[in-house]
Amino acid sequence: MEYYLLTARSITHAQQMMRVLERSGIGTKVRRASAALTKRGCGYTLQVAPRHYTRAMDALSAAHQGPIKVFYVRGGVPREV
Amino acid sequence: MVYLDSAATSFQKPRRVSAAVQCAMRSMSSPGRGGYQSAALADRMMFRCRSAAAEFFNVADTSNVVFTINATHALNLAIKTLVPPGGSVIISCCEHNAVTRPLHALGAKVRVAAAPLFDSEGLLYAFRRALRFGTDAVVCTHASNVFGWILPIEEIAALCRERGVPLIIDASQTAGILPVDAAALGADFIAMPGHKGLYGPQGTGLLLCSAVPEPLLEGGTGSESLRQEMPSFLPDRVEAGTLNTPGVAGLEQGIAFVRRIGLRRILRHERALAEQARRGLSKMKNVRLFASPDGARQLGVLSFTVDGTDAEEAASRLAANGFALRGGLHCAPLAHAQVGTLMQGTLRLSVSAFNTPQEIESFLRTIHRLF
Repeated sequence: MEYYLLTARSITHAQQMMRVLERSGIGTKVRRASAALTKRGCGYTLQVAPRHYTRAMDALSAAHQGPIKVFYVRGGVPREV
Repeated sequence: MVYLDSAATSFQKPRRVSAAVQCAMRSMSSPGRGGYQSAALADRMMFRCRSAAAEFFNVADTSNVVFTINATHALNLAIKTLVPPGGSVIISCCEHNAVTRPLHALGAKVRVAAAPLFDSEGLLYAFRRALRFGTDAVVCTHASNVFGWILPIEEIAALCRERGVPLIIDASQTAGILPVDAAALGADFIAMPGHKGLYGPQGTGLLLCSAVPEPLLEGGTGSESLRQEMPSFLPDRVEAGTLNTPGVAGLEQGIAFVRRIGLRRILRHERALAEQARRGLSKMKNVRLFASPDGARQLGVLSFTVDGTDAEEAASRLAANGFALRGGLHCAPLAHAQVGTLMQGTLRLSVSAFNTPQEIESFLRTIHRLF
């Protein structure tokens, strides 16, 4: 399965991003992020399907709620975009 | 017991508040920590409450709403961010010890903008005279917890914006009763308890931030754990440790209650009760009552003294007869110094949305009988 992970600086940031995406009709899931992913320790990510990615990023940019980093996950392996 | 001490804490709460607290204790674990269901439930509830507060107080960014344990905690965060040790501060003549004690601990040079009680024009004039360059901050209460005087906070805020001086507003007596519009006021910080006019449980408070506060506590935030510095972003920067999750769940319902009833209705109700009490007390020759001649500047908080009777003694006698009022200085000696009640204090009657005209009538009959 392939998907994007948008990393947030905190749970509040993740929830703010999720709210923006939900209002744009994009369903997401909040997931805990490992230190290996964030490089900063505990964090949260939003999982976004590839078909929604561009619209999601546009919505987040318009709301000034962009992610800290974006990863593309293929075969369970994340790669920073 | 007839509870008339809502300026200290609102005692009667909407039913949904305690239900929410109990539900949180049964179903919610620590927010911002785990990834399992009970943590996710807590996460969502915290965000809903934060968002509700942001909307209610017109804060553009939800993360600028910080949960605290009370207004004192919120004021300490704000004051210790803006005022350096020995810094220069202007305060009103009505400030609570939650403002004056942190300033004292900082060794701040404090100038008091003083005016006769209920003289709003006089107070504005005093602030205009006191405000000058080199002032680190102005700290001003929205309304006096002793006398219920609504200070001209919009004009004071405008003055601070004009002079470029940071402002901290203590909305302890007005949150949930008067409109508090964070964007319009433009204050750097607005502090408030969750457990008074917002009908949340004790152990809750809010700090609305336009500036980034400095941490009072360092600890775990569930974010950036590899770094040893507290996060630079809100709310995490000043929310170290596990928050009062059941309390916030209750606060969410308290805010919902206030929004459902509406500020106008709550204020009208409380003012009517205060006016009823004022009329009754003013008929007693041995009672000295402090009430604004301008009803628009009066909250449902009334202070009075009974000739020849210490305020604490009078409060004790009223308590023995089933009426809960507070007597004394109400942690606000500055306010008492204004009107000469520093030694004997005052009795304070303060109502909530849950008090009734019948309760006020019963109180008036009792106080006539006792004194």
